Amino acid sequence: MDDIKSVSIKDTNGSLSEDIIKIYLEKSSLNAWLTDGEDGRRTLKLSPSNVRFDSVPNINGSTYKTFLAYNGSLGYSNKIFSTVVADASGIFVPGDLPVLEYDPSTVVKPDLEELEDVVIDIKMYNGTVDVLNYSEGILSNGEKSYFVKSRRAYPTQVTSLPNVAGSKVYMDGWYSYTTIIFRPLIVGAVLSEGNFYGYEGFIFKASDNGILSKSIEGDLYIMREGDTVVKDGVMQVENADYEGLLFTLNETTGLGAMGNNVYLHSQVLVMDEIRDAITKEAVEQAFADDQDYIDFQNWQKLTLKRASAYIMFQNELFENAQILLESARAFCTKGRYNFNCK
Amino acid sequence: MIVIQDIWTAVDRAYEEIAMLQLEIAKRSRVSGDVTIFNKKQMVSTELYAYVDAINSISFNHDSTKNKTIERLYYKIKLITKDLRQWD
Repeated sequence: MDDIKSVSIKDTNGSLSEDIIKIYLEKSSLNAWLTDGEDGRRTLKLSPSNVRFDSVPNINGSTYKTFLAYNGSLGYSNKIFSTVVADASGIFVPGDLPVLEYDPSTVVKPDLEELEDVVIDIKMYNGTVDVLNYSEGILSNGEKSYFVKSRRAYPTQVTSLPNVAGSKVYMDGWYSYTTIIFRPLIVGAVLSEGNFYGYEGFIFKASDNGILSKSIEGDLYIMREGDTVVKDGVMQVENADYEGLLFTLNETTGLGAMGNNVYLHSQVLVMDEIRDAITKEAVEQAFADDQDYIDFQNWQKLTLKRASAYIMFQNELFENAQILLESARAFCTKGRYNFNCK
Repeated sequence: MIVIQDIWTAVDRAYEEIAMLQLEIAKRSRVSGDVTIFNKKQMVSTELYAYVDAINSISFNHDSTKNKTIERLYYKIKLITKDLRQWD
């Protein structure tokens, strides 16, 4: 056993450096664009533009999983929910940030009967997102200390009126949640100086090359491995229980994320784009051509006007019934629904 | 637990709500009769009509699962109409 360096995972009494994980509030979190595939279908592509992934600790080789989710409220119970409709995952590679692709035709609407069972409560607390901050300081004995805490940042866009449930504010709309699961440490793992690791709910920076031997009373000891310097090869275990992670994150804000070595990035995004793409896909699936869709809309309007006129007539509100029928006349002249309508 | 009278009431109220919404639309677009499908009143009335249509197509008190579905539809209607006028 050579040098023993300690890395404190307790709070620091030293000065704090600037945050290195940051979401720029003035910019949209993700770029979204639609591309036409060979089959003519449009694919929604998302590219991170707002998060400095290059500065996210130990991002290289870490696992990410991103969800496309919809926040809304269930009409019959007014319960607010967020349901995941698509997801993608992979391993981060430096210099090659992931472009997340969502094919609207693969977006699955949960069956209404099962909706309550698939609800995943991933919410925006008071309209904020939790962001992990990393800080570095010097302890009184001269050793470096690293401290991770969570803070809150406001989402970049608020595009609709919020839902309020208790002390929480939720916004209807499409969201993308990205979780980054840091490489977890196990005893015996090889550490590289300067790299960041998740351990027992904290993220810390290795002060030297070495092997993780054991943890004593909250302090983490790293032993230098003789003259051998191992720069990479840190073990990575993928945490596949993503839904479990999300449930853990619920009601726990940043602590749940820290407990699982998870960096959570959640933002409002792509409201119009994804809605249009999904609508277009649904129309293509349901109607032979665009004119059919227009006809369907007209039929809907006409049906509602006729039903309303009937209700008015039944209630002896004849003038109102007349107004409704007159407004329906424009549809009748198309001659598609009822040739006797005058 | 809802009873058949609740469903009848819900359907009646939904139709009345649709009629009032459509009347407001018609008064503003009496000549053309046209409104965009994304007009909020149009969307709400379409939604209500869909619920009523669904309720009418499901038998009540024949199957507990279907009763549950009807109950959900009932609460959907109640929620919408309660937003706009006094329900009880």
